[in-house]
Amino acid sequence: MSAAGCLDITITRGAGAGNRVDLSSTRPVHACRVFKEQPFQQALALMPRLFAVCATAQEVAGWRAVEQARGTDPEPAVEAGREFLVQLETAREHLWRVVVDWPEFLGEPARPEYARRVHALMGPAKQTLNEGGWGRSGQPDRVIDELCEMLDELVFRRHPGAWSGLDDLERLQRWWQQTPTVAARLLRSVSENGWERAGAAETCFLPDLDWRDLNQKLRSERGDRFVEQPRWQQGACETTPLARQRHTPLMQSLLAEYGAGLLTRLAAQLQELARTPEVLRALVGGFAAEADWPGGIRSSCGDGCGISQVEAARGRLIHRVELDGEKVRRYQIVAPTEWNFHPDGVVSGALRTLAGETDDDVRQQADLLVTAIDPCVDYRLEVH
Amino acid sequence: MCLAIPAEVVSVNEASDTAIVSLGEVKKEISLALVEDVMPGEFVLIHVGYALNKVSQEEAERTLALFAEAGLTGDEQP
Repeated sequence: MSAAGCLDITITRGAGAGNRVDLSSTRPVHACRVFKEQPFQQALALMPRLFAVCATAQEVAGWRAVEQARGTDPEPAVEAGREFLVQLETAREHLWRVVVDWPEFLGEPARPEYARRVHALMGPAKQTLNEGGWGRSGQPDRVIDELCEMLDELVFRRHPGAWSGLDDLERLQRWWQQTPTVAARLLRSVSENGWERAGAAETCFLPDLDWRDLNQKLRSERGDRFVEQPRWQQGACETTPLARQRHTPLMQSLLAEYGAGLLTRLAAQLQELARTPEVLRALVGGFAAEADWPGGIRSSCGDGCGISQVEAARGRLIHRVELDGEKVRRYQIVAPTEWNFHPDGVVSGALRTLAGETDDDVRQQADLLVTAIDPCVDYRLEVH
Repeated sequence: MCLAIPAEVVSVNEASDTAIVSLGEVKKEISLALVEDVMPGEFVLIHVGYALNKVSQEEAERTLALFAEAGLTGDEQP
């Protein structure tokens, strides 16, 4: 086992009655216990070092939870800046899938020069915000322009705003037939293999969570169990890009035609990418209402306790902190992977439905589905 | 949690843009696609087979100490 942990997924192919799926995790979901007894400032400084992959979302969730626990509120401009960085990090993570993971499915090498460009996206924006130049230097606009250029060149071959205007399956098909990028060719390949509906099982999207119920679950004796394998109203819910994008016209069209299957899930990541520049511009312009940011949800629970919910790249990230004066008494994090890769969750349900002529057929579909839902950790997949 | 692990670079293969890194007693091959000018003896943060960033030795040691405190190290395997 590596310190980062791993997911073990075994699919035992069934004869007509669906597959059996065994899913277990060695992810270190209680790593944040290291913050216990630390001054909160120290805990927040350690946050991005410990959770370096979605460091921005983790750091923002941490600040919001601590602020609620202390009964303080940041300036609106600070919140807009935080949200800008979280959205940009989400775009970077989706782009990473497109330039690093997706070529492998087409039997092509990843393009390191693209990966490097994508990885460098966050630097200038973070620097601007750290220097207090938000909204004045014009730097956020340059970051958005750079993102647009990258999305145009690497993914859509048109302005992302034009792609996000695609509103039905027919227009999406025309796009993937006419566009030579990896993203378009992967969607075309899924369609040519007849895998559009692969993994289209019934799913339950994570609803808005009432902070009182959430606080009760997390503070209880079974709080640690909730962190490891969260359920809501008896269900192992899904929190993914599809959950966020499902109300758009394109997603509605795909859900109606193919359900929450492979094609819909891949397209949901593209849809979220395509919409990112307009969301960022709204934040820079101060036009985004807080209600438009699911990430803005945070609650003071009293008694030095605060909760925050941030929409990170892979889904909703929940932080809960209890403070004793300046020190952390208890810290809990519920990450999206624990919802999505719950033994009874969306991935298990989708893998149970996969069918194919051979083990390898099923393995390819399973790999694509797992990557589309994106566990943020290594996984081992066995099919027999 | 999405952890990235600090590791020391043991050797660099410029042709394949990869490196061998040391995670405690374990050696592992990783991609250097995301970072430039990495030299043996330097430290990088690794995640799912990629070096994400270079970090100073001091920062790597502080982070590893944090991992040890959280009970996350000591059983690294390739």
